[in-house]
Amino acid sequence: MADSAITRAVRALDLIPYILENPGNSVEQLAKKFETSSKQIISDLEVIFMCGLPGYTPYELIDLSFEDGIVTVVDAQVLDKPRKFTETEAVIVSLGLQLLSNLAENIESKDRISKLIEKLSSKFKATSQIELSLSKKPTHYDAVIHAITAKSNIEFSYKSLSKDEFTNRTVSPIRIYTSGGVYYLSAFDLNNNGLRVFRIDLISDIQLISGVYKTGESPIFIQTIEFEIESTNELFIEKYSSIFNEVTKTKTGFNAKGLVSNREWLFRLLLSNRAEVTVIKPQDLADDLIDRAGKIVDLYADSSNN
Amino acid sequence: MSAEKTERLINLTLGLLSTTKYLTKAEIFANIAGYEGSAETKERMFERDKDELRNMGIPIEVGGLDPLFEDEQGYRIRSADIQIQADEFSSEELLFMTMAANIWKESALSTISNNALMKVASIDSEIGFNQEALPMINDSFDSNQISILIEAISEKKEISFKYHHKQRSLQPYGLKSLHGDWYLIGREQAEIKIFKLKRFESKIDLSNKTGAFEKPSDFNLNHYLPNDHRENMLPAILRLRNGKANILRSLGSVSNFDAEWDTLNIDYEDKIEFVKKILWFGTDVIVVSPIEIKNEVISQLSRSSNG
Repeated sequence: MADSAITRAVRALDLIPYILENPGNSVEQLAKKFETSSKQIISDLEVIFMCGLPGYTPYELIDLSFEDGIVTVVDAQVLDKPRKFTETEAVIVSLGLQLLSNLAENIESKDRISKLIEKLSSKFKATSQIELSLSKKPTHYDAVIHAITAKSNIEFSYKSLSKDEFTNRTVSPIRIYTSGGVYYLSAFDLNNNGLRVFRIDLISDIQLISGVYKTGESPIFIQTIEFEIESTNELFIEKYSSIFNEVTKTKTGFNAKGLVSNREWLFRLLLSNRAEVTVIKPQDLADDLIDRAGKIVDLYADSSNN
Repeated sequence: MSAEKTERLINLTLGLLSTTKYLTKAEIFANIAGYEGSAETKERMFERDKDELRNMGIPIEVGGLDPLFEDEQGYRIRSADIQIQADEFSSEELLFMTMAANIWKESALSTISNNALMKVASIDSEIGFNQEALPMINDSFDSNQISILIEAISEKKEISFKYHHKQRSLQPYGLKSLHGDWYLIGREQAEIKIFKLKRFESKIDLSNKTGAFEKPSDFNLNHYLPNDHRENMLPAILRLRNGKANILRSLGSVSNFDAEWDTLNIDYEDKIEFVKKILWFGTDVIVVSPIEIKNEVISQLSRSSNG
């Protein structure tokens, strides 16, 4: 379970320049930012305390101060700069830039972002071999972003995908998502009093309006899970390795335990993989799944849909 | 034990990074904390440390110290090889990169984007931008798979994986996303082929050898669009609850059915994948045809065991 010496050493190389540039973080904040545990951060810091340049007198050691839970670096020695991006990191940044350039509000920023993409591709070979497909920026994208930034409610006409009809919507716009090349607005629908998702390319006649800006609330949920996974579906464990922290082999496949924070996502994932994944824990999730599966089967019994 | 080794690796990096001249092994063993034991033990420790650091992207440069004594080699790490230099990026570029990395915050690749973000924040902590004004990428894909492929493409390492029930060996050339799906373009024997990542049937095995192949200089990722997969597509008809399953709607053509349901005409390629996609939308999607897909959905849902 414990990280290897090299992993810890490399994390230390990342930790020091970060703390130097961002003083005043608590151990908990650092753990969150570096996606590890507080315990791990403390043990990393304990190691760093002992490191420095040859001589190893107090003058040559990395000088960390640790007071009231707040960490500061007084002397970082040669670790005053972060490590270079890895190829993978550079690719991810470059793909993000491709999207930003596609959405830029004016030619000048588009141009400057493109230059940066080129600059990264001269340093990182892989960036030019990996591409995101970008669909056309929806006409009202900028208007929606401005409303989100201003936390202003909007009113718009929304075209139905199935009928040649428009409905008027009044919403508090929250975030823009992109999935499969389509841009969606997640918003609090003030008429229906709930969260709704709209395709931005189907929005027209958008207007800012006054009124209380609402975002609704999504409850925080952390769930311990345990699944039985059939041996034919080993790839499922690979694919969702981020949610599992313990996987053991069984006679018929695998037993996997883990933590999940997004219940709706988990629920849909299980529904999708129902043939190969069985829920052991939590019981209520298993029950809900059976219940939902039954409801879907019932839909097929309703002959009006056939 | 592990803490000692971590310390030694950090000290070695610091020592070799701070030196202006090459350090000999003797100087390293005498001055850098952590090298203990017989000459042979130290030698072995050093060789292993060097390899581990190199694998993590920290190359140790080897150089001759004295032209008269060829065997007396020295070592150092150049800051420009491993660290982002202070003047490498302008503050505007740092801002763009911060925004670009934040777009991935809620995606499967968030761990990688977060690492990049921490590095940018280590150069400049004052970068301010409005998170809400950024779109969030919400596609689901396998981040392990993507990371391995990026490594394979950038290091020119050959890969093998199972696809269509067959073991495939490939020289990976490029990756492309289209409508939320990722495609790998690479050379299998004499042919350049396109593979859909979602349809890989095994983990990807990455060979160790870097620079294992040459990519043709005229290779252009844009010439390889996976649209020729169209011919393998099969038609299906689904019912979608009004206003729901928006992701599916964008993949086909929609018409109104009744007050509660719409009809979607959609093409699919892979049966298993299509069934998974349908189940994802729960009670918002009903299969009308083909009967094969409909039966598979019902049979999976009617499984007697729980979940």
